[in-house]
Amino acid sequence: MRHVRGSGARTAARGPLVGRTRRVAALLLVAALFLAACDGKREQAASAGAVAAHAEHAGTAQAQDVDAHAAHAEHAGTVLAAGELPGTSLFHLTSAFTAQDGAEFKLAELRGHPSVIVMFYGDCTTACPLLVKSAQDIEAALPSDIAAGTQFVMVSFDTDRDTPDKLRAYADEKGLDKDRWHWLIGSPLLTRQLATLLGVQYRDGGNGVFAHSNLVTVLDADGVPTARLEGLGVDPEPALAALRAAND
Amino acid sequence: MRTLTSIFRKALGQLLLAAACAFGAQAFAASMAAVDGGLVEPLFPIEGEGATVVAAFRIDVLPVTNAEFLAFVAANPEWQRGNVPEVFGGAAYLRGWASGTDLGALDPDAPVTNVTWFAAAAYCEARGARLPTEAEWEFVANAGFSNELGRNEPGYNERVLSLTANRDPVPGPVGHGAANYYGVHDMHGLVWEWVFDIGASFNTGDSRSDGDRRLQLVCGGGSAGAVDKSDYAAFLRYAFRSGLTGDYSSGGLGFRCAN
Repeated sequence: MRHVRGSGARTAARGPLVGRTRRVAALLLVAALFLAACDGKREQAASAGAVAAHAEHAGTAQAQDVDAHAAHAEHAGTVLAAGELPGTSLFHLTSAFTAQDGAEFKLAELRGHPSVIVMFYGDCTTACPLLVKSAQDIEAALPSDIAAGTQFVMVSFDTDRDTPDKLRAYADEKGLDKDRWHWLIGSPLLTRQLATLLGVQYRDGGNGVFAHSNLVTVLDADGVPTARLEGLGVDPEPALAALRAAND
Repeated sequence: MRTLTSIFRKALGQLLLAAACAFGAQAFAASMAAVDGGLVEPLFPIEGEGATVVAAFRIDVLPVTNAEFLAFVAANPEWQRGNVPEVFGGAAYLRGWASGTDLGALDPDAPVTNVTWFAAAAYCEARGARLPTEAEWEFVANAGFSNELGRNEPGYNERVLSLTANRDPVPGPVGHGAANYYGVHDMHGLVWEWVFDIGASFNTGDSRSDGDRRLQLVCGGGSAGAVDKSDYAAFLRYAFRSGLTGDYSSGGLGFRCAN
């Protein structure tokens, strides 16, 4: 589940740049290896790994789907004791968030239904409304019986400024303070843990504006990621397919 | 006299008990340096972004050792090798340990490595601390050996780069390297270190470009925008961290705590 993969569309659109960045990536790789040569095998692997991740980023198209499918297949093929969580489940994160109604909420409460997870923040005016809308669009595009069995989880990373009340007001304004929609806020550590599990990166610019990646993740009923929509305005079909599959 | 001895014994006993109840005497003995904070120039500033303000904080003067991590997993079995779910650490987690609670041939005083971000964060949390943010870590790393700012010292960049490049693949005991201006050891010569917000510095903002930026920053002409182009070691650190995921671990990656 690397978080450094680009969507096919974006990679294609950057055609000339990809060629250049690949060359420069290769140069940097050589530089890193040169440095690492003095440095022992493990460091070499580590340094090269960092750079290779970038090269991979430039060259990979649709890898996230392959990744998701592989994870799903592996999950399906594993024999688990009843009630035991798969090792790749996000439900291993057991600390409680607080929901928009002020009640504690643990991710494991999602168990038994597939879910759509988005990280955003309330004061965000550019990307976040689009992120929330993409979750809304997913709900609208699903057959009603599948939509009715899908949970939507919106988690704020603005642990300083967002509160359950603010999130409820935000949700209400969009008509999304409703059943199956969970608007969550957690501790700084829990928030960072979830982001790290999802591959969402964010940082507070110090002025209430966050730099963050735009990611919609689908979890199956056991909390295992089965699809990721990276970037804004991307084709929701992989998410819809994962949700349909979870209801098969 | 006997009373005094018995009081002393009792006190000692309670002290030992308290230490055992906590996840280990060694962890609580961790010595931290007070850092006033200040400004960190982002290596790759977002357009219009100024320096990051780092508030006063404290940071371990040494990386967390194998012995300290052993005390932690002894008190928190869920973090022992074999008990950790795959999302928090795969097969590489604590590789080299003889068992969940046995370091085997590892040097107890060497920095713990083969730890994932999740394990490092849990360790610091159990100590009532946290991982340093990237800005905090870099703030300390940018200190010289005798100056608040290394770049004011002749030969500083070369020295740090040499320390970074000549690390022993099997790190030796912590604390053998020279202390920096803040009294903090081993920021460069021993291991890479986890930070709280891995990779965050490569993000562009509330924008649509997502991860593209980091690629351009590290690999393209964008690196010309880096603040101190001569600080190649810093460049390597940012590049290394940007490729990390939370479940990654390696023999050259450890951590220290802050609060």
